[in-house]
Amino acid sequence: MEKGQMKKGVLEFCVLHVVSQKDMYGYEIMRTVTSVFTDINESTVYAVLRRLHADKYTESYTGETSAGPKRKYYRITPEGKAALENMMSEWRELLSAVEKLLS
Amino acid sequence: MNRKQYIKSLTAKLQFRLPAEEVAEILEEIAERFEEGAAEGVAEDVICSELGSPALAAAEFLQRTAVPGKTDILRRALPDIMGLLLTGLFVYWGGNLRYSIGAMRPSAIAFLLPIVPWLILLLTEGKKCVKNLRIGPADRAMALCALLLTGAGIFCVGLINEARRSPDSYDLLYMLLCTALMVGAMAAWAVSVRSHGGKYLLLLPAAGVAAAIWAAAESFDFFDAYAFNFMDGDPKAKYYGYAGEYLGAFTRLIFVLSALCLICAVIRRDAFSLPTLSLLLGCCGGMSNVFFYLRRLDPMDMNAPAYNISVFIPGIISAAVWLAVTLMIRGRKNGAKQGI
Repeated sequence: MEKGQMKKGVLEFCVLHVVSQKDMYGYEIMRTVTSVFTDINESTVYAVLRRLHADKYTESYTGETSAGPKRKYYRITPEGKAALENMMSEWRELLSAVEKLLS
Repeated sequence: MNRKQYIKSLTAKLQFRLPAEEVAEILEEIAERFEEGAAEGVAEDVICSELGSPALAAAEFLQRTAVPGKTDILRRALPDIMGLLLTGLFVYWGGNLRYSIGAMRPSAIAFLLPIVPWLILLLTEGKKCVKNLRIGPADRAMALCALLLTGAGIFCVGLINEARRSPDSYDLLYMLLCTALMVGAMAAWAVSVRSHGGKYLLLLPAAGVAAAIWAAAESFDFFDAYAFNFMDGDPKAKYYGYAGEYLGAFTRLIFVLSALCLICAVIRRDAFSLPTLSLLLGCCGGMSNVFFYLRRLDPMDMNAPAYNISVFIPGIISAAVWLAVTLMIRGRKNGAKQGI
């Protein structure tokens, strides 16, 4: 398996989970994710974010900040929440299955 | 690599492979990343490294970009298909108006009927332009001007076609007016798409060549008209007639082929934008002109319904070619993303 392929597979799940915690702008989301996945390219995170937006799992709006220019914020949609629940359930099943195999 | 080089490189890799508005959104995000990094005092080359190479970034965006399904493509294509078919109707409008005035039998229905679908087209395209395209008010105005000028130019095509039955001193005026309107349309169209990263600019010379071929085809008809009006009894008149008929027909065939190539080239870049529709309307108007001419070579009664119905044929052919190529290209992209 190509190095990093496994991480890419869970990246959508992780990005969607981050957005579900609170409304964030793109750079903030990218920073949160890459602080944990240190060897992922930032453009990969942006691409995942765009994909989630195109799939209507997130929606964007222009928000004011206390200092600086207006930013585009992302928040999770009801469809995104349903998708996140499915991904969470799938992740738990996968984790349980892998742990059984490895033990 | 600095910010400017990175964005330029990324733009070049994305601009012909994703819709213009999507590329603009991606670049906006990347620009925001550079601004945030600059605010934190991070060097541009470090940010470039963290983003990954432009090639890698482009691959990521292309791989993960949602591709509309066939149902979505057809839904979005409906206003454009309607526009192409309406072009034939518009040419008919121009031709019938001239005929009606010349025969002292004005036809209100023939004159007013095309206005309604034309207004619908303007409203639907205008709404789509506002919703889908990230262009400013000035660009939107120029795009709509291009559409209106193209329509007016196509209208004049119909006038010119009817003028051939009884050529007079107004013919040259109509042709100059038509040419001026089409040039104006192309200029407005070029200005309106400047925010799309100039991807249509390469097609402008090709469109200019196609327009020049069409103008040449029109000009050959004057051989025929000259022979008819001024060479009565002259044995050489028939050669002037042959020159007009066959050179005109051959040149029109070249125009049709070049217009089809141009349509396919535009589809590969962006099938569903207002500038694309303006160009397609212009090409379709020219192709309608060809069919008008070819029908005249047939001794069939020119008032027969078949003659008037034939004006829709170029629109139908153009729409079919355009839709087939678009679906084929989208299908290939879908297949590539699924690893087929």
